[in-house]
Amino acid sequence: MADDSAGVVADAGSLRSGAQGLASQAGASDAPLFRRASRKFFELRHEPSRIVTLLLGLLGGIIFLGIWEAGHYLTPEAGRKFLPSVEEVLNALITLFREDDFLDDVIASCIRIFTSFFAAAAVAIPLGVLMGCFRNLRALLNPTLSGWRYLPAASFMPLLLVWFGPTDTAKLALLFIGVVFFLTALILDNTEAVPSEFIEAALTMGASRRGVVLNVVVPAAAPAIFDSMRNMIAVGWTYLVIAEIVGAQDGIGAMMMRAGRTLSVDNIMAGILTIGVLGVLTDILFRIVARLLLPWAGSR
Amino acid sequence: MSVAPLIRATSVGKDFSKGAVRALTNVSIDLHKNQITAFLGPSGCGKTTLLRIIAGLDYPTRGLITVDGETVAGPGPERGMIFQAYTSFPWLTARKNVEYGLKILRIGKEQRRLRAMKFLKLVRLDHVADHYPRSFSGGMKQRVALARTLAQNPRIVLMDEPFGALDAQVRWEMQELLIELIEAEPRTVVTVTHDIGEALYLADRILFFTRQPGRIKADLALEFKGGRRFKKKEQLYELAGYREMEQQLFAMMREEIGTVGDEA
Repeated sequence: MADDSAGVVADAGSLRSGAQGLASQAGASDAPLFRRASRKFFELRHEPSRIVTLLLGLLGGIIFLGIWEAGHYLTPEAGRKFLPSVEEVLNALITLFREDDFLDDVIASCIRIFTSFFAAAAVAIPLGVLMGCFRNLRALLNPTLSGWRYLPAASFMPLLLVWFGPTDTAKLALLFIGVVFFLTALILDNTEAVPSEFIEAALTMGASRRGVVLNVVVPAAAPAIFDSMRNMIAVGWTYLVIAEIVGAQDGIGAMMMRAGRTLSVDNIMAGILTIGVLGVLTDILFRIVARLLLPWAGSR
Repeated sequence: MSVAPLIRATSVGKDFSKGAVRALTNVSIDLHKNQITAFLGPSGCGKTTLLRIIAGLDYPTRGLITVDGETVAGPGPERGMIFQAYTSFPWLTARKNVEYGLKILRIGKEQRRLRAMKFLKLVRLDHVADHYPRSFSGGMKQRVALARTLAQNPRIVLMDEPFGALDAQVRWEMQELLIELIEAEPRTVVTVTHDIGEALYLADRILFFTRQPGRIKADLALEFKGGRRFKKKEQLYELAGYREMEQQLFAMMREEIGTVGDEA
């Protein structure tokens, strides 16, 4: 509604300037149209309609594929197999699923991601919430935990291999380490962001400390904690390939490493594409679960 | 008055930042049962600090507070508190918000429900009892908080600028609602405000605070009201003596603001 009226006002304005027929503007006869379109596109904080949002999202994807495709065909014949075209990668992906049991790899990777992530969440949520509630606990633990965040998770791989060998445990441990310290820090922030008035209101109603933590702080922080988890599982996906590089028999990363040895760039890119799609699907899954579990929080 | 005071503050002082800021010095007051007292004064005069100490949310650096002869050692449900910030819990419906306080008092499920609905009706929110506060206006959120606190049946209701975040019209509606609720079920009320009109309308007695260090500048019995409370705010303006009192409070307020203005 507001859009329409704004459009009408803009049109009236341009009509008036047209009627005045300023000589200085006559020279640039096609410029106003472009300027009007660009002014409309770059309207500050203007929310496009659902359909326009969808179309713009599709357009962005098509532009990306177009650049990729152009890159392929602009590459000299001899080098083209190092940058396969979109259709070659899609064909490779279909072949992987049909002939090479790629679905088993995908499932294996998903199980690794979700197992390690929920283990990390099971540690990070209580730790973050308790540190957010009790400043002494934060003073005790946070400096040490913060230090761990600066250590690159990938650098633990040699150590984990010595400890656990090329087992699933080593891979899960890496994914766990990559997520748990950041997730704890985020949940600590989420917990501290709970308004102290909520806590004080509960205390003046006679709530126990335990009751305040469980019945006030946790539900108050829950929507933000869900957002933190959604963002951190994305980081989990980024560690997947590193975890599966070494001694993995199955998983998306293992497939990509095998493909790398035979220079099958199409398969490598099919793997990257798969991880991207799975990441987006995980994100959507988290949003749906959050909406079902926390209906009061509104759309996030 | 021969009756023992319900709330007694004895030489209460409170410092912040290791004594660098003296929020309160040497405040001694008696507050009596079923009276409405307003703590009035400019911003930063320690009136909220004193209220929080009575609530048990802060501790005095010096002196002590007793309620019914017992020293306050922490917050408790016999001293309900309403905050300026909206404290209705967004994850609970209006009814569940009210039931939350009753659950703490270990009241059975059926009783909780009945009592919650009774108090939601009193604050005229029974029609949205099963809605989440997210869609509520500021006034509605504050009425949820009011119902939640009163449903616990506290002897003392402490209010920290409870209507400060509301716009002018909703504010006087809430003031009138509060008088209606307290008249229906008498309670001891302490309200903090810097709104002179609000203090004059709500209170039976006004304690005016000086700023930094906060102490009681004047203890005003509001005799012009003749011990009455009024359903409508405008009834107050017809009373002889209202304007004089208002002017006196304005003068005191200017005096207090002035002292800090001179320093700057």
